[in-house]
Amino acid sequence: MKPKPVTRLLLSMAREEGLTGLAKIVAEECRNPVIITDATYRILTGQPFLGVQYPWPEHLPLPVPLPSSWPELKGRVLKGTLWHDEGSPVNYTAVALGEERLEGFLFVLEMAGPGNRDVDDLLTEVSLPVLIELKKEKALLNQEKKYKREFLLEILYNNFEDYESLVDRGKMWGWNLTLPYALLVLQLDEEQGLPTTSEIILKEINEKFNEIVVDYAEKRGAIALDIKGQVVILLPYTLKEDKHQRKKALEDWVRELRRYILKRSPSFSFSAGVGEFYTRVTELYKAYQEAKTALKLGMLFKGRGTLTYFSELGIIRLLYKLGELELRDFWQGILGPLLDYDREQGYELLNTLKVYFQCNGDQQETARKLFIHPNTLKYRLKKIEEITALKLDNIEALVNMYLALQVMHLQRENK
Amino acid sequence: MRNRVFLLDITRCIGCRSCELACKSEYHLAEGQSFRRVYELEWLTPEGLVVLYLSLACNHCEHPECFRVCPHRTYRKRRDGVVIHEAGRCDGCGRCVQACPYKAPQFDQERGKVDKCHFCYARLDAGLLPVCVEACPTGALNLREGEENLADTVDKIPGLPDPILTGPSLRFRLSGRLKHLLNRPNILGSFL
Repeated sequence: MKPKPVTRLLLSMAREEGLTGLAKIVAEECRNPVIITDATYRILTGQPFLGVQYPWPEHLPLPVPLPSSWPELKGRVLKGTLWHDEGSPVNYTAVALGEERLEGFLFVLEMAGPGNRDVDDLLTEVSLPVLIELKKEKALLNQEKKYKREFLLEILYNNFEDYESLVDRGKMWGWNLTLPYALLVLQLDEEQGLPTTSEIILKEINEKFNEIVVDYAEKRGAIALDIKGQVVILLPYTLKEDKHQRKKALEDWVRELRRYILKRSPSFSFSAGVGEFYTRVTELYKAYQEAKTALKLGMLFKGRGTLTYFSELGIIRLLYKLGELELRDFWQGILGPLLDYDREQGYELLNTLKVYFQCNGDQQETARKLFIHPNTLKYRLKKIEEITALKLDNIEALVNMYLALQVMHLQRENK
Repeated sequence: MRNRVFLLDITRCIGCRSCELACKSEYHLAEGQSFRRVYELEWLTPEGLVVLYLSLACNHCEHPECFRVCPHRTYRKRRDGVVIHEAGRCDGCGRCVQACPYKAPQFDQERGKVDKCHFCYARLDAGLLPVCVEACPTGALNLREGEENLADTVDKIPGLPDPILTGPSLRFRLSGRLKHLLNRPNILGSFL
């Protein structure tokens, strides 16, 4: 007599065949390919059936579910269609795996033949053993991650003995630490426009984002670590490249990551900071501090979704060290009259000036961005000159106005 | 490991300098060198003269500037967030002294090196409190771990450098009239 599917799964678990063993049994029972993913639809293992293979190498083309959706997903059998660039769409039946929180999904893909009528019941029945195995593998993975993390923290906190010991220990993880690395710190932007802002939910969203980024980076040969709500990425570069080329390569990498993130979850946007390009791994702790500073100041001054280099922070780095009172006097002395005029007359001169600077003084571009006629812009700029008694064609006045705007922005953001 | 935070209850600090002296005596600091310092601030308000005391040491920042600017790998950070200065590597260049917004690293003229508060990490590892916290007779200076009991505290008060960039491990508790007065922007100006 053929054993029941659950018995087969338990036997496989006893033989320590892992998630792959379980996926194979489910595929045989359903007579279709099977995929097991984590909570972000990243494929952990998959099994073809009768040579029919699924076309997705890394993750399924579905938007990452929000943590708040777990009560709705729990215990439900999900049906839908997966799309891919080549070939016809694939219908699937899936079950969400988890107890207190979403841990992953078990998919049966209708590729080898029409779905078995009993698939729904079967998936519900086998979901518990699969969940147990999933959690077991996750725990093992976390243990490995913990050791990697300890080592990386030693590098980032300057808690190591010498260069040689770092290089040797790096080999254990397959990292060549004799190479020079660029260091980036990434952070999910706030204001995601989500329906809920509960702290726990935001934390889970952040964790999910970090998980996606770390996975992406590691698969592309980078070293990645999530630390205190941020992701630190070490990207190798070659000394043959000049600074401009390194920056270009880094920007391309971040652009690709943005594209990837956008595909996985359109609501995620992130900012990044980059430290100086140091040549030795023993100096990365400095790059880490620099990258964090660049990220923080970049987010303050440039807004969301930006990439900021520490080396390009310029005057902002100095402004931060000045006293609050002096800074306030400075910006109010220059922009105060403009602010008063806007308040009294209901104008937008300050915003006009801000956009004018953002557009590098290009009047056509500024007018376009503000949705006004170029002549209206000319009038506003003239008015700004009148009110502030500063000429916009004078470099000294221009610099002072720009700095005053930056300082004002800084102090208001900090409140 | 959770980060440790100094918590100063400004309303309870009477400016006795026990914390300052305990530290100086425990670590035999040179003349003019104090890892912890008590600042006395006073200003006249319509309600009368207000005096307050601020006991400050190294804040073991989340993003320490001293750590970043040192050219000799003199600073390191422990997992519990304590920033340690390895005096053996220090050549006394003073870059950290300039960089720290809280003026925590101090130059020792006799040794020609910089040094700073290390959170009494040897005592912490032995399960003891830092000497400054232990010496405080009014309980104004405290130690907290992680986010423990920090709900009614603030991370900045007027006059101290903005914490946004370096992320100091320092919190303040204000209550009563002082809380009301210190909420006025820039009432103290900058005193460091």
